[in-house]
Amino acid sequence: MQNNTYTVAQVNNYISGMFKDDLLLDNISIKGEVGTCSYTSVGHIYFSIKDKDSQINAVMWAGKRNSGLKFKLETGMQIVARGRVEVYVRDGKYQLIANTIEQDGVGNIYEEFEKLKGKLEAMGMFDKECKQPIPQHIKTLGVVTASTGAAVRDIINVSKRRNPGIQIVLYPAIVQGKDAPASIIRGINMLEEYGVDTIIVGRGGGSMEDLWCFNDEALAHTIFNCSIPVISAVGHETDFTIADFVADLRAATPSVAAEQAVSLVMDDIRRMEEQKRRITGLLVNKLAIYRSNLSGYKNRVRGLSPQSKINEQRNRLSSMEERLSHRMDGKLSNVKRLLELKAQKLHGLSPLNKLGGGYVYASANGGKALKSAKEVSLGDNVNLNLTDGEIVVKVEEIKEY
Amino acid sequence: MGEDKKFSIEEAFKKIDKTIQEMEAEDVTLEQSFSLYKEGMELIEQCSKEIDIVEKKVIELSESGETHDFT
Repeated sequence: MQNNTYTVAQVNNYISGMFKDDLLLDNISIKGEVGTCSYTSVGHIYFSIKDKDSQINAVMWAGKRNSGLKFKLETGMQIVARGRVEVYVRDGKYQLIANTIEQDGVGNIYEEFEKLKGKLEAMGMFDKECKQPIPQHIKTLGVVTASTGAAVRDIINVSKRRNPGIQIVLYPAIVQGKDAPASIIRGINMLEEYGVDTIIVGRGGGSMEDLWCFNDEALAHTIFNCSIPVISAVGHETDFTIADFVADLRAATPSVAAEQAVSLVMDDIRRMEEQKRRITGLLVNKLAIYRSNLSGYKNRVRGLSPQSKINEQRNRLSSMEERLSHRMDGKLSNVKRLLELKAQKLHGLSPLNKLGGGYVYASANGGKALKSAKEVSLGDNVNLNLTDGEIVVKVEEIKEY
Repeated sequence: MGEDKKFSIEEAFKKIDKTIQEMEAEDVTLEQSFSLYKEGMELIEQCSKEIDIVEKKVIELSESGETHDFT
């Protein structure tokens, strides 16, 4: 038997049979890094899987790609490929016929995330200058999220509480799994076309894998290129996705996003009332100032008018008159008093007062006061006046001194 | 972008604040004061129209772009 000679084909077929009979090789998972990798024109993928010690050739037929591969296979990726190891009889080589290929491990996904993040950051897509401001007061809010679940309820409740008049337009999107990025992208585009003021894109909390669709590169570009401000709200406070970095604003949760998107309408009303009060107050003040200036001017002008001159002079005149008459009255009463005084004095000095006590008023020759002895002759009548009567006497003797 | 393309309440608020500032200036004339006041009150009127407190239903946008009430 040892001297038997076989053809190449016989040997390779024999080996092939051995592989086929091996249960382990029939369904095996191989992990490692993608070495060479090429897509053929009909869609087969020829690649190799390697680690630091060894490598194995592999192929994925085009027909398996739809169900077995969710990403573009590239050199350097860490993968787990599942399939069977077969001998390719023609070349005498064996290879893995892969049915499914998955990226290997969370650590590796994270690496992928960092790679994309670095790439987009380098493109300037996270730059502050590219962020659109979130409008303070909006009428229409666009929401891209699942139509069921806590996220949409939170956004609606918070928004309505802050402003019952807000119009919310929801695009019910798929927010998990491989169809999610395309669905979210479509939602953003449709809301942009519909014309809303701000868009919230997000979903509630979940595992890192659940949120993974928000790390999609095409979605990142859609958010970046959206002409309407986009607020991202993916998962919880601690979850960060590419969408968060590229959005105009990152909200920790969907509720927070609604708070940031929708203004408290009471604040607006209050602000408006305050402005109304101030603006009216300012005009009223201005008017008051002008009115007071006007009345000042009016008084000054009036003061300069001829009528006022005349009035003034008239006033002066009348006051002078008054003063004068006052003076006059004073004078008159003075004189009167003086006169009285003098009259009293005079009265006191009246000769009649002196009559009595032996004094008489003597008159002769028709009532003339008798002043000298020489004025009478013997036999003349002399009248003697007393206080209570008159005596007529005859001169009988004249003695001159 | 056109300036008056769309009335924005925050823009209006800013404009009103500016109007108030101008009115506060010492040297503003009565005539200017009146026109600023008129301007300001018109903006306030627009704001109050804009602040809509009538409750609205959430609408859902379908794939085809049609809308219907969301429940």
